[in-house]
Amino acid sequence: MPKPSNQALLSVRNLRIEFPNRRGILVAVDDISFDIAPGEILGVVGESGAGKSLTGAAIIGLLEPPGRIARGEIILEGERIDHLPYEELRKIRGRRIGAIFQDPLTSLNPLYSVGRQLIETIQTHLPLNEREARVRALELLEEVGIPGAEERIDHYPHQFSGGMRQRVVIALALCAEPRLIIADEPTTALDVSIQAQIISLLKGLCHEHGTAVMLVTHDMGVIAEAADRVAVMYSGRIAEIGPVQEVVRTAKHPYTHGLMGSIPHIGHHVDQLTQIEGSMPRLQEIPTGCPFNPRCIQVMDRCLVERPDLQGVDQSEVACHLFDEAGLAAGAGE
Amino acid sequence: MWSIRDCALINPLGADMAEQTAESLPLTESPTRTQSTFYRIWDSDVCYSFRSSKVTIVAAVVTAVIFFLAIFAPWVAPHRPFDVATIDLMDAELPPSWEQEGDSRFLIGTDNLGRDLLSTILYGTRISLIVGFLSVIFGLVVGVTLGLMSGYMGGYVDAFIMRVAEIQLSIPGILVALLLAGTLRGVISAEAYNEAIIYVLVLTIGTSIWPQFARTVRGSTLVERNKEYVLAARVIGLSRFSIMLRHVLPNVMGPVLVIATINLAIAILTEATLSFLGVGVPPTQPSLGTLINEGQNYLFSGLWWITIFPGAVLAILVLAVNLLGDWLRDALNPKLR
Amino acid sequence: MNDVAKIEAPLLSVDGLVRHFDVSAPFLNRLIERLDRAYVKAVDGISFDIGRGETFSLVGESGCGKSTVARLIVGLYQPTAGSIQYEGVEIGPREAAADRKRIQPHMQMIFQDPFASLNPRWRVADIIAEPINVRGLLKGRAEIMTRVGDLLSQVGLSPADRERFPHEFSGGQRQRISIARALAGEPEFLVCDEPTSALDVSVQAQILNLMKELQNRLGLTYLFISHDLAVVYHVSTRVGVMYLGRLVEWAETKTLFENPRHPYTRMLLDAIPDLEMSGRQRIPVAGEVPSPINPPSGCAFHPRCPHAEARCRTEMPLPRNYDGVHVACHAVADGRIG
Repeated sequence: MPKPSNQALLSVRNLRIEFPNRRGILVAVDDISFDIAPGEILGVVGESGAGKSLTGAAIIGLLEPPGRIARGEIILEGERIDHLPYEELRKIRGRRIGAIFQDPLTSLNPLYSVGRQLIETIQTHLPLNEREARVRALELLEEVGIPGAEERIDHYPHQFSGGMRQRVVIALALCAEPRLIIADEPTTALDVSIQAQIISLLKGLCHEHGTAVMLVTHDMGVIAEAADRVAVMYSGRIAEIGPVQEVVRTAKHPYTHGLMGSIPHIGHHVDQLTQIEGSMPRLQEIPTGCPFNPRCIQVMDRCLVERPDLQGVDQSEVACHLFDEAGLAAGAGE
Repeated sequence: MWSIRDCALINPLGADMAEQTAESLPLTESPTRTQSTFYRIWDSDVCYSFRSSKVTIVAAVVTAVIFFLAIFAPWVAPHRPFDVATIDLMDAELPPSWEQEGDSRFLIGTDNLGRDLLSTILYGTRISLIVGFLSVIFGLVVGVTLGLMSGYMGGYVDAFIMRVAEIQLSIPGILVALLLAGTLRGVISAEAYNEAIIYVLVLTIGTSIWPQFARTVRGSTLVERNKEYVLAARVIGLSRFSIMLRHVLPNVMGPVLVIATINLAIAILTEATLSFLGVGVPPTQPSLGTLINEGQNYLFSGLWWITIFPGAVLAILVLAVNLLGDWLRDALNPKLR
Repeated sequence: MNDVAKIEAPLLSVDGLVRHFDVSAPFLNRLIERLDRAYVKAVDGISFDIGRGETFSLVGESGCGKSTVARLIVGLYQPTAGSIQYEGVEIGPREAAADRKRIQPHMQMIFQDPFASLNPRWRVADIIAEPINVRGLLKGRAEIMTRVGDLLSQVGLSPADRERFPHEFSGGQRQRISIARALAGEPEFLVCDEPTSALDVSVQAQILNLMKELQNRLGLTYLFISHDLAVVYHVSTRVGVMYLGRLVEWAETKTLFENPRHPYTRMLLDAIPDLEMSGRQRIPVAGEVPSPINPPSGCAFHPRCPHAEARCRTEMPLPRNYDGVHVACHAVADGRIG
């Protein structure tokens, strides 16, 4: 369990997200805790259904009913925000937390020009008049690398290409200089060559402004390149969290280990990729103990009954019984 | 938007959703559990939404009762209103039995010819339902076939069918029906007309509703034909006809069911309107519309029951069927809510 | 034409394949607004051979026409021009419909979206039995069901899964069912259109391994379409890189990845995220893919190319063979770049 730190920009404590339905309650995110420091890029990686996007949605208060935060706290700059009423949350969203979504086309209103949307967002959050807001919008567009911003500011979203649209979305997220940006699969809909542009842009901007980013993605490559720390999620829980170098190079959790092995690499040819058998359990079938136990090659008796907590190993934290004292002893005995 | 993949799909209804949800937030039952067919249906999402909507249950019960009584009219009805031997003109114009002059033999009174009103209504509902069902089936078969061809084949076939449908839609259905019925009446003898009247009504009403089916099916077909399972069938080498019939058709029938239900109500109403206007079924074999038409002549003579009761049955029947249609639409298409 | 061809005749041979899509405005708009007909040149003259037993991959960014090539080969689209030969038999043009019908059963296709590629109303047994029935490979329900069970075990599912519906399976399992359906027709040639891009990485590995294993066991030939260079590197014998409807470079996998010649191939390779954390910076590429309706003159890549000169803007480079590496680039031809 990570200790709450004083300098954390965002602290998530024991967050649990539930989806009640007529057959019972599905737990999509189960008791996760993590911190993001100012200016830090935290990558959140996992397969679809691991709960990574939901965690992002919960932080900005955009969980769609019937989904709900059942337990836990979300603390932004020392202030608890998870139980705020909608109106106040709306003010925080945009002003203090920006958001970037996967599909740039759906996050822009097709009926308004890009400039109009930027100016409106700026004026919602900052005390600027129309002229000043337009100047700021222009600055933002230039900052995110849109050539000919002066002219393009009056264009409509459909006149931009995919990569350019994503840049506009980033500009929108940056409008009010938020301290934190939640980026949910920001490069998934883009081609490889454009992906690299967007990642380096995002990285550069955050570095300049000291903005923290929670980068949600399924792409380990993007994480390896952009993130400072990474949290690996599995079945609504954090399996491993730590500095990106350590997690990528010396993955500790058997799941992370398998995940890294299953990614094909250019340069070293292998005949068969490492594969993790089976697939992530459905929400109503999450096994007791460690949720990874049916697929784990190093499964032990206690994995079937006892849920592992996160515990420090080197600079990372890993939720795996292999790293318990008993487990370590057993491992050493082999 | 954020959660399109993770949250929005949590909604337990709808095949499309269940499909996409299967991996992200799967709500379908585990494949390892085997259940009886009855339990599967009872536990299905459509059935659940039925069970949890009281209005729908009431509507379904009302519809079922009316259908039952109408279908079994010859056995259920207390009198045989079209058997001249059993009719006594002395019983004419009796008010409902609870009125002072009422007769206990005739629960809701008699009409101007002395026929038991309750029995007449039961037989009339039967005719109305037969015409309604046959019209919808006719419109459905024609519309779905043409819509499927239109959507799957595209090109000139599509252009031609859709233009015809648009022309058809731009003329009010009742007008088409009136026109057709009127022309036929002029062409063939009155006797032949009376004999064939039910088929004429089915033809006219069915003709006025097929474009709705065609357009809906065409729309869904355009979506389905580009889905990969249809492409896969083409690669396998299945013929065009088989693909349309076996792959596309089952996947476009959801909305068709909804339209069919709502159009059943419309068809019943159209038939009643036509009969009320005098081009429908003759008084010797009255439908609900004919009964209302006849009754309205006596409305101002104080014989209110002759027109009010058939009117009420018609209104209740149409309302109930419409409510069922609304529920079906919501249950099959959760995105609309 | 290539190394494999020297040893034995290629299984599939594509020559000068062209497919244009009509994206013109409707007739009345064209008449009143005086617009010209507009065409997307999705595939604009490509040629390659695939040898028996090999995996040939087409790689490129979205909109480069790689999926169109796949669909042309399996006959979902008619080519505008060019030829497709299977074991020396022409199956491309409309006139070759009879030959196409005869050859068609030898090929099958695996699609990208495991949620759309299986008919949601059919049971798994019927889905997999369909090619068997269409080809009339087996008679009798019992025999067919045994075969379906075998196929399911081959792809790592249980014969008991026959009675279930597609929605009861996860994405990876559905892709296995897709593969079983493709195998049911006993094809020799499989066209795989982004078969793993909708799957999670750990599941992707399962499917890639399965495909390799099946290839070894059944001697299949694959045409593999993907945008993911790492996946392509892992599965292919030879790779072709497409840009705006044309092949810009094709060669043996190892050669292409170790020594990319065409500037676009180099750019793609540079843009791959670095998992090794070697500290190598991705080189962000300037510009974006132009519209295929109105592609740039000359070499379509010239607006983004660091080596472009006057000739590249006017003259379209034709592919040339450099020891088995085919490259369509003036700079390479002139020896300006390696």
